[in-house]
Formats: sequence, C-alpha cells, structure tokens
Amino acid sequence: MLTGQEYIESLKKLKPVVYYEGKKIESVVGHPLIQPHINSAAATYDIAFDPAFEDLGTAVSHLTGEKINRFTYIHQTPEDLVKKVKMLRMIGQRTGSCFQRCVGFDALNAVYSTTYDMDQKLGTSYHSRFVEYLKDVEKRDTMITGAMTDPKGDRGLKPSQQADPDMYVHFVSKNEEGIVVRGAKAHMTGMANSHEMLIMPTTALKEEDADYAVCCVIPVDAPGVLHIFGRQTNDGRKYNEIDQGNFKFGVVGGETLTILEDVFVPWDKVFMCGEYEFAGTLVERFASFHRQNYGACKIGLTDIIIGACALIAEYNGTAKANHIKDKIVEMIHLSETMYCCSLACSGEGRKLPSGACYVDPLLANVVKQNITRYIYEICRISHDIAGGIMATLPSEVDLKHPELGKYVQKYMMGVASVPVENRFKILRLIENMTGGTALVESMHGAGSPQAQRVMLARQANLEHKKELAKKLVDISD
Amino acid sequence: MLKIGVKYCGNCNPQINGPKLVKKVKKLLPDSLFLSAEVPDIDVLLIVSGCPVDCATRPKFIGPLVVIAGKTVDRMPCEAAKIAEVVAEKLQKHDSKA
Ligand SMILES: Cc1cc2nc3c(=O)[nH]c(=O)nc-3n(C[C@H](O)[C@H](O)[C@H](O)COP(=O)(O)OP(=O)(O)OC[C@H]3O[C@@H](n4cnc5c(N)ncnc54)[C@H](O)[C@@H]3O)c2cc1C
Ligand code: SF4
Repeated sequence: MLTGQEYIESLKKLKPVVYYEGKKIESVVGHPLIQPHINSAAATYDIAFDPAFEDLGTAVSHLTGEKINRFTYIHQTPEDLVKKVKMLRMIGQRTGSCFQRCVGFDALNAVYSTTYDMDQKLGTSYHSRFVEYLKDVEKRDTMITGAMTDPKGDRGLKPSQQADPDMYVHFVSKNEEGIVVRGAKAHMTGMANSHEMLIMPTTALKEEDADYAVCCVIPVDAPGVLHIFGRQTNDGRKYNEIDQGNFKFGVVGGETLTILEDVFVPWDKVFMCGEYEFAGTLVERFASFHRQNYGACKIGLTDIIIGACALIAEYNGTAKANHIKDKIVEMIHLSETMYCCSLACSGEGRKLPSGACYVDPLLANVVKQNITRYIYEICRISHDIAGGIMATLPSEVDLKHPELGKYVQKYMMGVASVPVENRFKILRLIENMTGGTALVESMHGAGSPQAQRVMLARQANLEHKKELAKKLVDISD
Repeated sequence: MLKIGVKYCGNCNPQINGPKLVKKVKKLLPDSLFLSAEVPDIDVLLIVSGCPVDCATRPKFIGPLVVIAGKTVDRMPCEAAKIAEVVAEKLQKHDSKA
C-alpha cells in the first residue's frame, strides 16, 4: 500500500499532457488548480495507515490474502459493501470534496464480474486477464479513473449513426499485439492525477455498434492521450485561500475532457473488444455501484455543510431561533435519509456468478435519485441560513487590505466575539460547497435523474403491484 | 507491563472521539503499553467503536476484551466524561502483575 506522500511522489514520475486555458501544465503536482484534488485523492491513501480509519480504509484481498487499500478491493459480501459506504462518508468528512478514487473502484468491481460472465457465455478469456491486472493494481495501489462517459454528440442517435464516428470511444484496428482506440471521454474525475484510466462503454450496444464495445486500461500519459482540464465556478479564486472555501481539497474532482487519438492498447490490458451484448451489463453494474456511493461520500460533505450552517448561525447570532434549529434538523433528516438508502442497497447486496458481491440495483438507483433532489434542498436551506452576504462578501484581499481592511472588519462583523475572518471562512466554505460545479455534480454525476428512473421502472415489478391491488378488492380476470 | 491492543472501528459517524479517549486512558495507565491490535502477545484487546453499531472488525485474538461503542462500555451505557475512567479500571483488572 502507498501512503499519501508516496502516491504524490508516484505522480511526479508520470508525464501526462494536460492543458488548461490553452496552456500546458508542466507538472500536475504543485499546480494550484490540481494540487487540491491531489490532496483529496491522497486522503484515500493515508486512511489506510491511520489506526482510527484503517478498518474501513483497508481490506484483505480475496486473490492474495494480503492487506490492501479498500479502493482496490473486490467486494465479497454485503458487509464489504456496507464498509465501502462507511469509508466514503468518513473520507468525505475529511476532504469536504470529491476524492475521485471511487470511480475507478467501481469500474474495477463492474469489470471483474462482467468479464467473468462474458467468459462463461462466450468462451473468451478476459476474466483471467483482468485478474492478473487486478493483482498488479492491488500491489501498486493504483489510482484509476473510471472512464465511462463519452461526449455522445447527438443524444438521439446511436454511436454508429453519429455524424462524427468518434463521439463514442471505439477501436479502429486490432492486430496480434493489441488494439488502437479513438474518441474521447468527458467529465473525467481525477484523471489528471491518476495513474491509469479504465475505459468502459457508456451505453448498451447492438451489433451494428460492436466497434464501440471497448473496455481497456490506458496509462494517463500514454502516447496519443491528451487532457483538457475543465473550468469550474470560481476557479479564478484558486490563487487565494479564504475565497476558495475549501482551499486544501478543492471542489468536486477536477474533471478533464480526455482525448484518445489513436491510442495503442496491448491485449493484456483489453477486457472487452466487440462483445457488444455485454456492454449493457457493464454499464448497469458500474452505474449501480457508483450510485450507491452518492448516499455515502455526499453525506460526508453534508455533515460538513450542516456543521458550517450551525456555525454561521452562531456567528450571525441566529442560532437560538426556532426556525433555524428546525432547518438544521431538516438537513440532518435529509442527509441521513440518503445514507439509509446507501446502507440498504449494500445490505441487500448479492453474490454474482464470479463470487463478487453486487449492490441491489433498484435501491442503488433510489440513492442517486434522492441525491438529485435532497442535496439541492440541503443547499437551499444552507443559503437561507447563511444569508445573502454569502453571495456578496468582499474578497479576502479587501479583508486584509491596509486601508479597506478596517471597513470590512467593522461592517462584516456578526456576533462581536467571533473574529470576522472566521465568519468569512465559513461563509466561503458554504458558498463553494453548495453552488456551481459542486451542486451540478449531484444532478449528473453517476447519471442524470432520468437514467435512474429508467432503472426504477425496469427493476420494480409493476405487474406484481397491480396483482396486489386486484387481489385486495377481489378483481379476477 | 500490561500490553493493550487497540482496534478502532473506522469512525464513519462517531458519537465519541475514539483516539482522544484512548489518549485519556493512556494517561490513566502510564505503565501500560498501547499497541496495534495486530501485534502478537497482547494481554487484552480494547475495541473502540465510534457508535453503538460497533462494527470494528475483531482481530484474531483469544483473550479478554473491553469494548467501547459510542457512549457504552461493554454494552452498558456510560456517561461520556466517565468512559476513560471506567475503561482504565476494566483494563487494569487484566494486569496479572498489578
Ligand atoms: C462533476 C462530474 C463528474 C463526473 N465524473 C465522471 C467520471 O469520473 N467518469 C465518468 O464516466 N463520467 C463522469 N461524469 C459524467 C456523468 O455520468 C454524466 O454527466 C451523466 O451520465 C450525464 O451525461 P451528460 O453530462 O452527457 O448529460 P446529457 O446526456 O447531455 O443529459 C442532459 C439531459 O438530457 C437527457 N438525455 C440525454 N440523452 C437522452 C436521450 N437519448 N433521450 C432522452 N433524454 C436524454 C438526460 O436525461 C438529461 O436530462 C461526471 C459528471 C459530472 C457533472
Ligand atoms: S462503529 Fe459506528 S462510527 Fe464506527 S464505523 Fe461503525 S457505524 Fe461508523
């Protein structure tokens, strides 16, 4: 297992091509835009060594019997799934932002069971190949980007019907050594500070789209790979501390648009190449694992938002007002409701033919559907409690300005005993954790709300429900 | 010297501050050795779970056990301010040389 510092050192050895606003980033380590995300990802490494957290942060490999970082582990039991949920909440409480590594974690788990099923049905040998890769991941403690989402072009058209065939990642050629892939992946969380990416198809596929059924591993600095780091709300503030809100760990995961310009992948890193009928299974499993997470990591974050709201109420002198107390209780209720769903879909986990454990997909989709609503509601309440000053506060520079500072100090005071700087810090924390990019992640990360509703309709047995109603009132037909 | 193996739960949503509590217990038992629960030859195992769910994984150990789980000690409710004292007393009972 690597420590956080060893992970950071390992990044220095990589040479990914990363651009931001037209300029090439020479080193992701130490860059003000990316370092907070690196710090956040490093937390996933450090918890494995901290006695207070290692029970959640580590697991025993089912392949080797070695103690490994849980982010490289294949869940074996529902208890493992529950531990994952608890771990994500615990790390979220420490970083206050996305720590990125769960996407690759879910990708590993989804590919593990899908390759097994694929081999059983098609006689391929992807699973044993994947197991070899997995052993290496466990040993090297690799940080992997879960790369599913394609740019998708015209959403009304299938991959092969697109005006540009590269709107979805596909293989363009193959030979005895490997395959060549082309296309792009969008919204790639933690990509700039990962070691490798695990490419998966983004949607269920039919025979005419077989070239788009690609699952493989690519190093982030492989020839032909280029990353464009995305803009975030307030990223112009990355050079100040207080104005950023969460200056140590940033906001969401630091996403990239990653371009794959004819990238060669050797066969030992290819886990699907043309087996279109299994694309849907892989997508569904990855999505369900990933939706499980949202009632976990986001609850770590709402723990912080709730704490920040309680503090700002104290700083503003409103903490004793009944409606404020009630709004904080409402936030707790919403937050723990989301957590309940994550625990439930984990507790109802089941073994797949590979022996790995899978969440209950119906309940996992409920988790994410709730997130698209309740996080917005929690953030709405936080804006109510914090007051409009959260949105119109002068800058940190003005707070510390030799001439203006005295006015900012004087008029931005709340309760007299609270230092104005503390009020600034908490207001900025709430502002940055509850709006812009941070909020949108709750809507679209792990899939837009409609994607979950499709799954709910598919998983819930409506006929059974109709039968129940009919039976109760003696309708027989 | 009493060798105490300490195992924490992982602290996802703790109702007590486990590491701080253990520091307090250490102060009360200055002659004891507090070790990782994975170390062989410990005399007694101290489980420190942040809440009553008590999901700390139990290490392989056959011997006496003291369990803090939220504001309980060995399943009995305990005032937060008294937990360290109660635990120190229980641990000391397992010191054969005391
Ligand atoms: C912060 C953030 C981090 C992310 N990280 C990752 C990551 O690490 N890895 C990864 O693989 N993905 C990641 N994603 C991508 C995420 O899974 C997608 O944003 C999500 O699946 C929605 O896709 P989209 O953004 O292309 O939206 P769109 O597909 O454009 O959706 C917009 C709207 O159009 C609707 N729509 C789309 N297609 C159709 C259709 N065919 N018919 C009817 N309605 C349609 C949707 O339901 C939605 O209402 C991340 C996203 C965000 C915001
Ligand atoms: S005992 Fe409680 S605080 Fe500790 S990991 Fe389990 S549920 Fe979380």
